[in-house]
Amino acid sequence: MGEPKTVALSDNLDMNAAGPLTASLRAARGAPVALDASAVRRVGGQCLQVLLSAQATWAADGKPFEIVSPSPEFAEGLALMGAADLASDSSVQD
Amino acid sequence: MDPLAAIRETFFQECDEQLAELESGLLAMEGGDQDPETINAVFRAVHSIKGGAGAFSLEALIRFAHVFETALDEMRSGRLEATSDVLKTMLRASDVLADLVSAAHAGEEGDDPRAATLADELKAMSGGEDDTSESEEDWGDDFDFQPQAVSFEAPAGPTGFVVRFKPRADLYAKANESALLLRELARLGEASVELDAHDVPPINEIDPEAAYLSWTVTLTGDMDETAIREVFEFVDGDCELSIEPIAADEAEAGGEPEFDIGSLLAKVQGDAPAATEEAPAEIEPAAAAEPEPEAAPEPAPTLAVVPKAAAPEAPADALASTGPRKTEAGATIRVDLERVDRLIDLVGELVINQAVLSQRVMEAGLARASAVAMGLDELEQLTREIQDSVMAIRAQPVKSVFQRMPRLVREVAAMTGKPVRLVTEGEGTEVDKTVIERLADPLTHMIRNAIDHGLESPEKRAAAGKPAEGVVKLAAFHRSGRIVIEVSDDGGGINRERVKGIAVEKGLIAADAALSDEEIDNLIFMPGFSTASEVSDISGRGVGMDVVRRSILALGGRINIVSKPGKGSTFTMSLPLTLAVLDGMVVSVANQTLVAPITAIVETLQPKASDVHSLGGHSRVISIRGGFVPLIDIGMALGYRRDPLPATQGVALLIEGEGGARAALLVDAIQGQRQVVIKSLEANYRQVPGVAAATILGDGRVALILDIDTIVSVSRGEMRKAG
Repeated sequence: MGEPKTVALSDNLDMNAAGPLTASLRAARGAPVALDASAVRRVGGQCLQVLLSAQATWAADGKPFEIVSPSPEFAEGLALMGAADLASDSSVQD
Repeated sequence: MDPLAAIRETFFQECDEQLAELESGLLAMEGGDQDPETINAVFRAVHSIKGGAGAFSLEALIRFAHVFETALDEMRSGRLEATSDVLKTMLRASDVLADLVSAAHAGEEGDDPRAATLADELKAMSGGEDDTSESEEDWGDDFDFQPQAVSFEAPAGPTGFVVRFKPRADLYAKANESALLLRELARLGEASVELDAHDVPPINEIDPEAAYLSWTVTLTGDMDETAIREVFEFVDGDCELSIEPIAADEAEAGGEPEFDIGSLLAKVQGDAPAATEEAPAEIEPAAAAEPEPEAAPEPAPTLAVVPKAAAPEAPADALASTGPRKTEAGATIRVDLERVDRLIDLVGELVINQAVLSQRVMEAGLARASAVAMGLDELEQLTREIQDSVMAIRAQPVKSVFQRMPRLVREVAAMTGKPVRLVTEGEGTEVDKTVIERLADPLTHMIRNAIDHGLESPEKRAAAGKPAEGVVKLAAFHRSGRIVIEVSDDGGGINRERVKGIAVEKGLIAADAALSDEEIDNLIFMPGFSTASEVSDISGRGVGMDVVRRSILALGGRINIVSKPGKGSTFTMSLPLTLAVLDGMVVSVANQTLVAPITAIVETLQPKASDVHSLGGHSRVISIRGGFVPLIDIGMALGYRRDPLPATQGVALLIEGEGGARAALLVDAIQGQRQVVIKSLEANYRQVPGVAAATILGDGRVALILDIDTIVSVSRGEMRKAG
């Protein structure tokens, strides 16, 4: 399957980031992907939607989807929104 | 715009609304309003400001709002009686809060000594100095401002709530963020958050701007529902929200391990993958009461079943009132002013175009009863209606200016030592936004004037058998297509002897001039009347009533005064409802079509040769009822012709300009009277002396709108040179 394509997530995943994030994920579709969340300082509801959508899409496509080296802020943000699984579960998939 | 700056801007806009709410609430209470909802609204306003300030780390604001809120909470819970003194302090606190907000808005946050003094007063009132000052230091770091920390004794009732929250796309569009709301919610107590992501579509179908997620948060701990509701206050109407208490025993049963609550939720949601077996049987009723997430489009039913005993009296009332507030929030939208102006502009074009079309049809010789002409008539009516409706969008209640006045009155009253009560009427009267904006300064000055000069000192009032407290009344109403604003006081009225004396002394009138009472009263509007010797700190500031008059005239308005000795004075301003259209007298001058604003025209007359006198050069005066006024040939003033029009061949418009100066404008003929759409000349060409703006007539030609004041002052200058 080859090395997953790494997509670096921007530091501020607020509502303005949701559009670009969607575009970059759409472009990465069909291949294994690893999202680097090390720089993320803030994550909002709309980017969470996009990430969850991507996770489900990749699972449906049968391709590995992974979030790597989540920053503490990213993990905390996800936990706050009840989506702690997103960062931890995905690593199980590969 | 930087998104954070945009959010900040929204916050300050909201602050203005909250401050207005705060002040009107406090004033209502001062006026004897004992509705618990009023104090709740006041409390909510301060709380919201604090909440928003917290998000931007505006520390001075947070600190003051916190102390203020604590005092209000004491009042809300009945521990602090809302006496007149207490309310006066609260009102001053609201002024300080407003100042802190504007300072924060301007980025000049600093320590306001007044804030510190008032904060001490408020603390003394609420009797809670110790616990507030203790935590004062760390507010900045974590804006931990649960009101229950300073408020109620733990009520016997629920010790937790299930909050279901589903944002709509609008919530994000207005720069609010679910993550922040959840974070605030988590601060209120022990939170367990369950995310429902079932609606999220695959990545190729997702709309990044939409909202697909919903959350169910189970909060346990000591809190009241109001606090939860306040978290969502800014997004009211932009999300589906239901808040249900967990009954006391159930919360206890589920209070220990968080898993139990999680599994309860899982059961409630029905579609969660793993409902834990150990979920206690007795929590089933609560589960049944919780509606299916998808089947709950309106939170209202869940609100209605909140048991009264579950929360203290006042917050329960607050809940009941959230229903109408929600619809209110949904019924208005914020629109960029530029968009409205663009629309108004386009409608103006439409009106002109429609007029052009009608004229063409007439010229084509089509019968009035022809289908085309009838269709055009309908179009004309529709256009008028559209124009009226669009103007109505820009119309705003004068409340936005009126509500700045109570503060002014308080300040001026304090400075002059005169007790004053401000009575406002007709705050809902609507007028164009531009008019409102330009009304604030003259109104401010007139109110200052009414208190400083109009009202007598308490001793004098007592001697005259009047109540010590003076009354200044501010009223607005519509009259024949204009808005009328009255500022009246119940003071001593104008001291005509003194006014006349000053006018003589200043050389404004001859010492032996015989003036009617009305004429004497109107002397105060003359430029140069206001003098240094009588300029006090308050009404002075180098502005006289002539400036007020000039700004009203610039708005196309009129002002006059009626004064009764011993009873008080009333200033009446009459203003156009909009500055986008104007009632004009259409005249022709040297084959050009011009428009003179009707408001400036006093009368029109046919000059007789015997009434016109030449002063040498081209300057002429005309005698009107025994007085002489300059006769200005518009054709020459604007450079349309070199030789003056013989006065008898034209028509004179007697006009009254700035400062009451009169002049007669000589034009060739009057075409008629018509409402015209004002087009800025500066925006489309450049400023032309003597011309205020332009309009487009039915025949498609541009007609200039005369700037009467400039024409008069220029020609006066020339006369002086010539004479």
